[in-house]
Amino acid sequence: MLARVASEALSGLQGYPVEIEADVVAAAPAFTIVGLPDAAVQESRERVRAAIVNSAYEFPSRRITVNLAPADVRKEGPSFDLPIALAFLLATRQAQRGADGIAAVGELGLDGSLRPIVGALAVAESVRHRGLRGLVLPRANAAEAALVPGLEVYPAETLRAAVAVIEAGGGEAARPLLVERLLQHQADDDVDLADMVGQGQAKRAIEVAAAGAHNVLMIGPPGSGKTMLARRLPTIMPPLTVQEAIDVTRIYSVAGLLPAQQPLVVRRPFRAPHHTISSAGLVGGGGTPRPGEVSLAHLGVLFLDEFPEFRLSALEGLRQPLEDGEVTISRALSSVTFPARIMLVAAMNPCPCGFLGDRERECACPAHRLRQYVSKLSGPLLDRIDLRVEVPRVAPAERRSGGQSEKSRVVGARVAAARMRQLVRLAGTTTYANGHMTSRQLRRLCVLHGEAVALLDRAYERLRLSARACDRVVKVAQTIADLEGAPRIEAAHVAESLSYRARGIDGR
Amino acid sequence: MDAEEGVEAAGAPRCSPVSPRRLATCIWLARLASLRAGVVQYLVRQCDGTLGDVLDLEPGKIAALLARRGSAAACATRDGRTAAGESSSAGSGTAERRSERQQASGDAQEYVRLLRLGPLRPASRGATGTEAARSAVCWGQAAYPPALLQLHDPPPALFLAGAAPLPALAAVARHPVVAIVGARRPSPYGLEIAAGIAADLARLGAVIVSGMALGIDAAAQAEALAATAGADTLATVGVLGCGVDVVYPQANARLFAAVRRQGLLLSEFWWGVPARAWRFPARNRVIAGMSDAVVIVEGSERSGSLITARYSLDQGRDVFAVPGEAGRRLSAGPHRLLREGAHLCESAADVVAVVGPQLREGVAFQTAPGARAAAPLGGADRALAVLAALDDGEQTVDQLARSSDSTVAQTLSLLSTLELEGLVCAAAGGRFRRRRG
Repeated sequence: MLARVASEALSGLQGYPVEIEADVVAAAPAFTIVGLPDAAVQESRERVRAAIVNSAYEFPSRRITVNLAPADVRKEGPSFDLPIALAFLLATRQAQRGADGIAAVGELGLDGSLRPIVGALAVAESVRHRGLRGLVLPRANAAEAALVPGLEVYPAETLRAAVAVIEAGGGEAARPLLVERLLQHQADDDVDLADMVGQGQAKRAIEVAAAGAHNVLMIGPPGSGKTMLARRLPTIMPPLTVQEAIDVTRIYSVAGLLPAQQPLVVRRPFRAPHHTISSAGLVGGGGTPRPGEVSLAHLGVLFLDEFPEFRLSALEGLRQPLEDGEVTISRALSSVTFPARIMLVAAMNPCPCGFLGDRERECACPAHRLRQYVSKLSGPLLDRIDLRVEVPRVAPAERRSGGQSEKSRVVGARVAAARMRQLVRLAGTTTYANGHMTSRQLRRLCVLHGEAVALLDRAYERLRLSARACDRVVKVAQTIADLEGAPRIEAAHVAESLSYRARGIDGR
Repeated sequence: MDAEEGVEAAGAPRCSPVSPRRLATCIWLARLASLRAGVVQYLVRQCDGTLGDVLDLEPGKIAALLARRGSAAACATRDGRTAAGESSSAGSGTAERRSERQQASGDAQEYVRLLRLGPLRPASRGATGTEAARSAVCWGQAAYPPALLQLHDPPPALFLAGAAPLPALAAVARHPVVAIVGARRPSPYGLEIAAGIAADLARLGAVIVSGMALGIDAAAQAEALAATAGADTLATVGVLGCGVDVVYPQANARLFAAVRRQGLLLSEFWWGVPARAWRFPARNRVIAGMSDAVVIVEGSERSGSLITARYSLDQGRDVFAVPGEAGRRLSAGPHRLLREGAHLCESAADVVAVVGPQLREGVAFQTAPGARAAAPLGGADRALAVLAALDDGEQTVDQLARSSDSTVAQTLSLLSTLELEGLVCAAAGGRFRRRRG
């Protein structure tokens, strides 16, 4: 006889419906899965067989055919184990169907236990979206799925428990989780801007960067605190909104990186991949596209230390996400888009050995190595980095007499206020922060004081700024004005903005 | 090309006409000297006289003397290697060493071939570039720079490139000539000082001679050109350690083009000869020989600039050294010279003060540069505090914010304004400093 169970598969960050059909007929014994299954799905035959037998069900000597519909999309992963087992049990009348409208996902252990799957949030959203009532899934994924309002989530620990849910047409549902409450009750960050002694200039730069969502390039010798600064940048960015938290959680869930005890990502992500990372690892890719580091840093900070040491292909791959806030990965059969709205914080040494301009050690790099090092940074990529700041090593004496530094909370409040002003000004556009303004928006929305214009003109001439560099200066000056609450850009704002150039890198 | 053609381009000597045979011998010797270090020095020592005495010899005799000097291949390699060891002019990569050795053996074969051919024979191999663009000046011709005659091993011939090479060479003799040399990878401070001195001296009518190398050399020459842009004077002469038609280092290609257009390129090496380590000390000898004064701007204890300074002292020229920060590698060279009695140089005025009175007849600086006045400031207390703090040396933005009692944002804003005014500039490592010049 034939049985059907609703399930879900993932394409990128989207769940899509998959219908599992099982047919059992009296014929030569066989167990076949059709409908473009990949290797992991093929292997689920063995897991399903063992789980069924070990859960004290019978595995009859019949011809069993399982179809995964729609049959023209490739299915992958072990999350079909549970629905296949359920469909089999229904088809062999070892289970009776209760009320309809419950989908199932989950990986089976050989003993019949249920193991967590990736992408539970996206699956739950899709189940809700297609109008089904409930979802039975491994207990470890329940909290995450419970974030979706209006969906009954039935956690199950074993195959038998899942069968009970299907037979009863429900059961004990997990308590729905309110995202707002989870966001409110987050613990304090374990890092704070006040931990850092000195580096006032660099702190100011990341404050401006956070306020306008500008990308930053930090240049400084090893040990000057570039990584420490970057790690503290998320602590001064505005807190995640409900929608943002859901968006980030969905990505982490699909990537299988959601911590076991934490159903929701409550802090802005901070990702710091090593410079040996491949292009696919950084921007996403793979046979079935998976999110890369840029997407894992979505709405947070992507920190690239030793920036010029990254592979050229990887760095060039950053251009689309920096421009569009998303990454599109095309494959022969489909293309997948991952969100990637990041703040890029790049860090580099002033030269390959790291000691150019250092007071205590001489730089030992030959001139041509130095040129090579800097020339790896392509113009188009540098154009998308609005702030460049030198991070000198803090002298020991200064470290001792550091004095008091501002807490992340204080700086964060200023940043949030500045963002608010930007939202008001940028209302009606698709942009939400100065860092993402196009040059047309720049000309239309940024009001410069007469003196500011004169200063900009002089800088344009004296410093031989390119038109693009001028745009950058105005963008950053606008953010500085927003931080101050000034109604228009004054000369002082332009002057400060001018200081965020890297003289050694591009002279612009 | 025919050896004689190159000489005729030099124009007719005004006095003591030099016989075509002798010119051919000069060119021949110059070509031999382009392939192996110390050719002229060896011959002059063998004759116990001057280059003139050498040129009086039969070419066969010269060839015999040189042949007696020993295996060319062995010597060329050894010369090449020792020169490379002594000077820091060439990279030290193994690949470079290998190519240098191959080059040395190629040079040795060519050297033996030329030795066998002797002068007067047409020699087309090894020649590149268009014939028309070539000019050369031989020892003994009127156009030959008189200052070089004082060398005990003067170049037998000088090869020139430029818009009007011979008038330019004549202009060199009528103007004060100051060499500015220094580190290939200088500090911003060194670059600025070198550029400032070069610009001031060029405006005072001096010809800035340098080696067209990266760093100080290029900065001085580019600035000299910029300072005299529009004026119809010779601003700079580049003396090369390779053929004048070779661009080395490639990074200076734009400067090469500019000097070729507005200045003069000069080399004692035959056309197309590539840059090699041993040729740079030889080039430094010509730089020192041509100049009335040499200014050393930055350099380590073992730098090529010090070689130039030694040659200058040998020839009784005035040596100036620009002091640097104590203890830095790049300060070691100039400081050593200062310790040994070189003139201290802070600006072009120091050079003019010492060299001005002793210049050759009919040659003078135009005026003495005035003392630099501090630009007036519009009573801004914070700006004054920042500038005062910077007078004590380079400072980070944080330090400046503290000493002027203002926020980092205010300080950054102020520094940008002062930078646009030309009062401060960025130093390496995120620090700022007062601008000199």
